[in-house]
Amino acid sequence: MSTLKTGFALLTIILLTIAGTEGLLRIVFAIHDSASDQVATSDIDERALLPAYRDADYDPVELWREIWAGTNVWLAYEPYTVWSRKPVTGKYVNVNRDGHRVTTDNSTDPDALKIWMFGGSTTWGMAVPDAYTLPSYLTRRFNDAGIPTVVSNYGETGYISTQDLLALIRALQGDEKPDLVVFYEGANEPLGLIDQPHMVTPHYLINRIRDLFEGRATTRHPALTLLHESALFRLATSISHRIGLIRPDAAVATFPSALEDIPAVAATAARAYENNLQIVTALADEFGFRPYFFWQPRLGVGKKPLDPTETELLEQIRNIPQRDWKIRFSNELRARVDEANRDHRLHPHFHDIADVFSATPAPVYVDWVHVSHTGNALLADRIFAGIRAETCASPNRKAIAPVARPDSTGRQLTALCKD
Amino acid sequence: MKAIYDLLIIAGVCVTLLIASEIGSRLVLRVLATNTSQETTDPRSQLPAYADSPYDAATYWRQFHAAKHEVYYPYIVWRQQSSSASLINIDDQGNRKTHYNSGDPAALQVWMMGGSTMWGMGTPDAHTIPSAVAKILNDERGIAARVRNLGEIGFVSTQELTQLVRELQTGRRPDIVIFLDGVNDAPAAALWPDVPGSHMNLYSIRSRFEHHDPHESAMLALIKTTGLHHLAGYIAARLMPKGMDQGNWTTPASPQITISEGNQAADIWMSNIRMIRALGRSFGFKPYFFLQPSLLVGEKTRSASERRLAEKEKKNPAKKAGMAVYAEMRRAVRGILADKPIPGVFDQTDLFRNVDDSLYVDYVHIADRGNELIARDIVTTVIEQYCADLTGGRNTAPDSGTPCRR
Repeated sequence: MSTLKTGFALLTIILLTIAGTEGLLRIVFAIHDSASDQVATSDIDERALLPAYRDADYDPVELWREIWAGTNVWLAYEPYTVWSRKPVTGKYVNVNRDGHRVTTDNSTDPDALKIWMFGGSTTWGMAVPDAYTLPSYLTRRFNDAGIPTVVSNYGETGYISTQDLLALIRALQGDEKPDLVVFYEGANEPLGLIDQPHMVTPHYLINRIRDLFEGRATTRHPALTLLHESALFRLATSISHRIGLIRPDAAVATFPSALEDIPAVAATAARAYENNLQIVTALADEFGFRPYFFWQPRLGVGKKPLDPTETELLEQIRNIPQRDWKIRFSNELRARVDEANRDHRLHPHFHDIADVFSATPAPVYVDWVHVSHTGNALLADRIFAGIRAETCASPNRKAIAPVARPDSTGRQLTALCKD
Repeated sequence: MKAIYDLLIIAGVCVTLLIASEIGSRLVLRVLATNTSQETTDPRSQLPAYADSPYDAATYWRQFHAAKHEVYYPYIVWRQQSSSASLINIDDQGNRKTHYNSGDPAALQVWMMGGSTMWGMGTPDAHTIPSAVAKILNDERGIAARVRNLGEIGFVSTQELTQLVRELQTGRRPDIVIFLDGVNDAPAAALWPDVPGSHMNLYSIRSRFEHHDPHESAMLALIKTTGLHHLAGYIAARLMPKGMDQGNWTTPASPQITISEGNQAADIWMSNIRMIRALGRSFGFKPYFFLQPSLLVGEKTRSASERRLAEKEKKNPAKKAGMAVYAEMRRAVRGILADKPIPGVFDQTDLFRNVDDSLYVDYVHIADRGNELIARDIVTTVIEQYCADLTGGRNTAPDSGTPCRR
């Protein structure tokens, strides 16, 4: 009996010792962290301090604060496209009740040209205020050219081309129909492949979302998470690093071996993209809109003379295996897509504009893909020029006018070609 | 000192009890799970619709309950988990097995899409609608055909369109795609009219995403994985009144709302048909669309057992209201088609008008005989015509195994 009593007491002592050490270490780490954070602006997104915002007429710090405060991909579930947003009102970031980022400077003309723009966070306008999103710049280009235009921003953070296609299908189920549809994509295609390299066009965070659907909190068991978050684990890791038992990057260095065959993964993704374009083209023929596809630039893809801060950003990315893989994959995918384009397997309105910044030494990137207002202005110019060139080069003028609204749209597009 | 020692002992006993309770809860849950899977026979297996079945309907329903387990699929949201049993087999893509397929590589490629009726809820693999179509084409009509069952429990037409997009993305190409819809589109429109084209169970699925806090503490997450937590949830579920994902369906809808929801379901279906037809032209396949029969919508000479079944099903407010919307959807579709017929769209709701045998096992699902009638109608209405068109009006000779492809 007394052995049993001792056993129970010993169990309690062991548990109390672990809890006490954990508590003490947490206090020590908290003091240590607060001391080292005093210099850092903990609630400021460091991107706001980059020179890409040098000539901004808005406050990038406040902008990023709004982006993180009001916009989170977890906020709203959306059938088929998986996520969307709830309405948000702010100084720089506004999302309407349909979950779309507000486009400024749209025309109020009832006969205005209707453009739907699809893409990921770069289309949505991550890194810029409402007035400087790609759709806002694009609508200004059209309206400034004397063509009353309304551009709707269907961009959403993390969306890949398949989600853009499904968002288009969902939108076409409604009464409104567009005259032109612009897709600006490419950079997000590798996001889901890191988790599911064997799947065709998996979306971003697929494993996490699968876990939520199937009722698992996280892919990693919470007990392991708890262990990883503990101060004892932090201490043990720190000691292991110092005495050279484990390398600091070991945890992030492992990812599925299937990803090593970049050409195979890229070939599958390119074929899926090609099929997506065929699907969009079929819908365009049926609903009478003109589709345009633009392959976007990203840091490490496309020719850009890099500013020192961009070089530093790229080096940081290259040092993390998964991110470096995304760059290598993106370059391979771009090559495959361009090859399909050369073989006329893509829609004639496909444009690879990944080199759009080739004559821009000034900094535009604020991270691996998002650009400041300066970058968006250049992109909008290039997209506008591409649309104008395709539209005005059309040998058959009737083909310019989509069947949905032949009179008004035809008039607007004819105006586009005057000059 | 003695008090501290006693406290340490008491705390140790508490921890031990907690661990013992956790182990006990897990054991209880395991026993409960085993008992549930072996629980009483599904009453549907006793219905006259199974009177002439060459298999044991009770075994089928047991296997059905054991196999039914949705897993996440990107964009189309769910499929059934891969499983294998004597009567129900689901491959690793979530597709139900189809029997009687041709092994000819040049065989006609037929894809069949729809909800649980197309999937084959109520019948073993060999008696699903796709298997019946494969059997009729290959064994009776001499048309070498390979039929894929892409049906899924609970699917609405927008999920099927999404699934079609996913299939086309991979590079697979069909010759014919058959859609059997209606009984899921209508309740979805009734339950979530503010999200037109929504899939079923929107609220419960949405809550899994939106009520999940990505910053939830690991401790809370750990507690949620414990046997004690699961056992508490099990007991709470038993004590609570049984419900379903009711959406906005809290009170009976007015006739105007029912009409409006029926119109919305019809509009979404027609819009999806328009898109699928466009894809058919671009990718070189022929799509055909059937509005499916239901015990509560469409004419049928009901057997005594079906009359009792219909009365019972009408007492379920969700099914009653859902089928009221389906009736309105059918009316709206008929109106649209009367104004402007759309090739390849068929109303099959009255298919069983002159059949007085027992076919139904619930408000929509049917046993072998019903599936065979639907399959024969599909073959005679569209597939034979498709092949005849290809061969310049000549029907393929029976038993010749002639492939019929464009």
